[in-house]
Amino acid sequence: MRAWIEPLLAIGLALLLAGGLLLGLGADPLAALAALARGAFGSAYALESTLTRAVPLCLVGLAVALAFRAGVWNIGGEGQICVGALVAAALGTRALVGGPAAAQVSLVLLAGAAAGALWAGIAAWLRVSRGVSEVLSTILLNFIALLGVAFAVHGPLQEAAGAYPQSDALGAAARLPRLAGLERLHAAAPLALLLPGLAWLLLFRSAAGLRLRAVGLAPEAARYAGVSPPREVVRVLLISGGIAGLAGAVEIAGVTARLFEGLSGGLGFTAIAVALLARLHPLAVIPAALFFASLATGSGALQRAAHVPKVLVQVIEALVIFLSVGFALRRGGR
Amino acid sequence: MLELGFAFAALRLSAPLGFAALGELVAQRSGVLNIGIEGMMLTGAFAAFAAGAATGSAPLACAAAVAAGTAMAGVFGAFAIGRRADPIVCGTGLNLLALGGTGTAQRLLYAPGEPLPSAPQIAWPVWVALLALGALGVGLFLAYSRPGLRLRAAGERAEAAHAQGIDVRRVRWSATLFGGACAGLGGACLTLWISDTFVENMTAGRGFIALALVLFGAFRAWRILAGAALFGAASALQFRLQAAGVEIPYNLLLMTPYVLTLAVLALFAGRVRPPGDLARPFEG
Amino acid sequence: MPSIALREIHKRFGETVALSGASLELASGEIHALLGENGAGKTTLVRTLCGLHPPDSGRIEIDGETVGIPSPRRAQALGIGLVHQHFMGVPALSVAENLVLGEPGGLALRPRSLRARAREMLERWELDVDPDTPARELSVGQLQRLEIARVLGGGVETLVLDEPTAVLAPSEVGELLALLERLRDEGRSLVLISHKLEEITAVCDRVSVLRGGRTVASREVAGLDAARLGEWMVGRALPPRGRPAGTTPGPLALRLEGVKAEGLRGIDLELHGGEVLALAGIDGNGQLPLEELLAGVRPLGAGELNVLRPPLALVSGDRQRTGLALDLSLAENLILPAAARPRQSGMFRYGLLRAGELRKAAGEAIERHDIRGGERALARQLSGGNQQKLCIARSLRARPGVLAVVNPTRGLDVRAAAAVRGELRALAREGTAVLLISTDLDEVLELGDRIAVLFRGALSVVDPARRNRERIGELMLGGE
Repeated sequence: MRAWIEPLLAIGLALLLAGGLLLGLGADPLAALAALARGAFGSAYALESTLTRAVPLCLVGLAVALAFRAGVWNIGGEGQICVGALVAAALGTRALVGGPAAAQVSLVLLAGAAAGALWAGIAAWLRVSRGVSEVLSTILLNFIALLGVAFAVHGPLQEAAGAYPQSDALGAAARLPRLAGLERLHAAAPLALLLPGLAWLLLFRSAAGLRLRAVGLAPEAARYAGVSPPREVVRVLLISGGIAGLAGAVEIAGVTARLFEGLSGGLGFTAIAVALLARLHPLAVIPAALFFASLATGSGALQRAAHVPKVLVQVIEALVIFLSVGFALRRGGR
Repeated sequence: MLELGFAFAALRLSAPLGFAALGELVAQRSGVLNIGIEGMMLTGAFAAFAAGAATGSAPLACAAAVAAGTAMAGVFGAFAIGRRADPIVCGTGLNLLALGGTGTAQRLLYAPGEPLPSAPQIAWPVWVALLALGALGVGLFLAYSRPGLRLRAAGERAEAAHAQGIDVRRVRWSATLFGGACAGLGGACLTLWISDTFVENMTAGRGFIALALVLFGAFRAWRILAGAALFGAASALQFRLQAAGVEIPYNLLLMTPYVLTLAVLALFAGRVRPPGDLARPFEG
Repeated sequence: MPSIALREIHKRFGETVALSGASLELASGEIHALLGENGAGKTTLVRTLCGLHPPDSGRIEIDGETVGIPSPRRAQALGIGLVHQHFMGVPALSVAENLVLGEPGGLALRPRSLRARAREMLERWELDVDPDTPARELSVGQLQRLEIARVLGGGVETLVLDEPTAVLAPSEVGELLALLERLRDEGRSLVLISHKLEEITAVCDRVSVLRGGRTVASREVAGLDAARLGEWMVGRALPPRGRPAGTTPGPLALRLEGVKAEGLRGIDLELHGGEVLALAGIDGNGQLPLEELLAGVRPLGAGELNVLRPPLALVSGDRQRTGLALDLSLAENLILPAAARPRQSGMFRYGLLRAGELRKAAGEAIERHDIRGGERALARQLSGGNQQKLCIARSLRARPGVLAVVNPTRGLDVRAAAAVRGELRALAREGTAVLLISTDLDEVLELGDRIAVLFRGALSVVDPARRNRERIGELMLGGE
């Protein structure tokens, strides 16, 4: 039971601290919380927006959790999302002409996942064969990917009209259809439930997962048992990057339809908070993603109602990270 | 004239990196891997800007930056040293906190849409002198002082240092706070010298480049400074190419420092021996 | 009158009770031996005295006055210094820097005066090395001398040595004991933790014996005999140590020919099924390289390593680091090697775990090896003995033709050690070829059908006709 109580406590404390901050700024914390809740769950549309937002958070949170489990600090979710989105947009607006819709969408999503995996693969190569810590390399790759997107939407991928720095819209056949009877939630949303389940199976019921966890917890013991830590590091980075890249492609094909700067909007970092709040458990990633998604969708209403800047949400995310590690440590650390 | 201008631009762009990397050097030699240096710089930049704009005093602005960087280092230390939490997680949290915190504060303090006030400036000789003195001081401190020796021992083998009566936590706390102060100063460079205003996320990864510089400089103060100069020159070159009308898209030029950092890491990271107990929380 | 007294000291670490009423009275100008089994609390007790583990309750008196020693710094101020079993300096720092690390003093550290002072200290304690050498380049014996020089440099009057001879070659032991006598004759008091009767009778004045965290005896050494001390230590008469009945070796199981690797200068050996080949030697003479080579984590430089009766399984010498993943469960540790090769193990289908097989395997291992702990218990929660049994159980799952074990009883109590040795003997009887790499000479003599000695990365075989401690000791030093 404690496994559930501590993350809830972390959330509670973080909200309490944020409330204190609001009070200090002269805003009414309860009204702010109410506005936040209304913005996130107040209407069918709000609820759907929150769920739609939770999808990429869940995917990237899962990507982070898997990597962290193996002791691999993939801080590069942001960049992997960008690269996935970039390739999805390039394919969907330029390369694909014709073919059945199902094939086009699948191709777009798969290409995004492959791009994310390759991007993370650079960090894997740097770590395994050049001894570069993935912490630094993934962070640096984030900057390069963000600038890559900027370059693309100002240059080769800019819309034909040339008015804004954004790509053309994906062709209708390359886009994800909405789920039956819904306005926003797209057909890839069930992935956010399916992939965590698969990840759970992988981590706790498979040979690969046991190797991966062993490498994260005790690399030397794993080596002696015949596991090759470098191979596991490469593997988990490819999987992790692939999932993050997939999330980027899903955003393009299911939500925005166009590529533009700021598409990832810090998702990759929020995902770290998601993974930590979930205690790196693949199934717990789902509720954790929902929590942060509700913060994100509710923050707009918060800004309008209580005149609190939206970026305050980042402060709450940071608080949740700190409180999560604070609690995890009292149990004796990881 | 152009050459002089280039050298000056290189100097300007290397100073923030130099300050931050020197602070990070001291932290890492004591065994603390401080990934949150980016956030400390950003907070420093904002504090310098806000204090400078409010008071008009450059020294006060500078002091505010140092205080802000130190305070952020305090938050980092409370978790990474106090609670022995993972430094990478703490650092990432700290960077988020700085990003959200400065963004929130900026929107609260300055009405959106209206032009931002400008911060007072500090002349370049002051910065250069500070940086040179800092490098000299850090270098001498580490190699030829007793506290410096203790600090290195705490970073190489905390258990041994503890057994010999060295208060490892205190040493690491001091080093972390010093690192935060330096990062804050590096941030102040951005708003009191390189520009006179604050832009959201204006550090743009400089903290991470500083982290890479520590490795690149093989944990030696002077080599780190040389590395910072090299990076400053590379960044200056980027602007110069642009000015010379070379047809390279702006965004690709902006990538240079990050790509360069990655390349440098790929070449040097494997050859450097970091402190033995770097990033290992001390249990004693 | 005693100059230092520890009275009724209690100390626990989490669930484990380390000390429950331990005492030690140390007169000035004596060498006081502290004897006890592994885990009896010797190290904890002296660490209490040195401020490393402040006691939960109990008193520390110096010249009759109660004092608190909450930190190593305080111990230092009281003139108490500890020489750890392993080098407790900083390998990356120079010899001179290590010498001044713990001392108080001014801000500046001038290289010239630093070097001069270091040279003087090194000379005084008979250590012939350049002060600028990084400590990591020193030998084990030199490091110990450096440690002693450093501790004494701080004006120490009471010196505690934690099993200082365990890591030394026999000739170095003699030199160390001579140094200890010199220190006593200069008026210092010494506490010597030791397992070795000869050392205790050779230089110690009094002895205190710890058992289960309590002091059970404290006497003058003169007139005591081994049987008496042994009885105090283990609480019953020592069983006679037996040598195994001669075995008839089976077919060739493992052959190393001219094996070279980093740290190994050329190893030739042949091991047959059904026999135990024991490799003795002082730590640091190639044990770790050989272990890593057999584990497959160190590349073979030259020569040939043939396993004729595969597979080869290894029980690593460091169960906490390389043997087990402490934060995985007992069952998960058991099948970790299987997860590295899932197709051949039968434990996985399509890469997915077969839960029934796992439960069966874990149940069998727990039952057969008498492991106290459930299959879901974390390896961390098991006692040292049970961790070791788990390591052995795991290595046997693959039905190895060759089993290599490294220091299999290090850190275990007498009963657990006996169980492990019994298991190894039984395996050999059943036809497994056992390669025992151990720094414990008694263990080597007790288990080895044949004995060879590792010295500086090479092997010398002990002639069965000259199988005795003296001969092996000679070879451990590189004698012919």
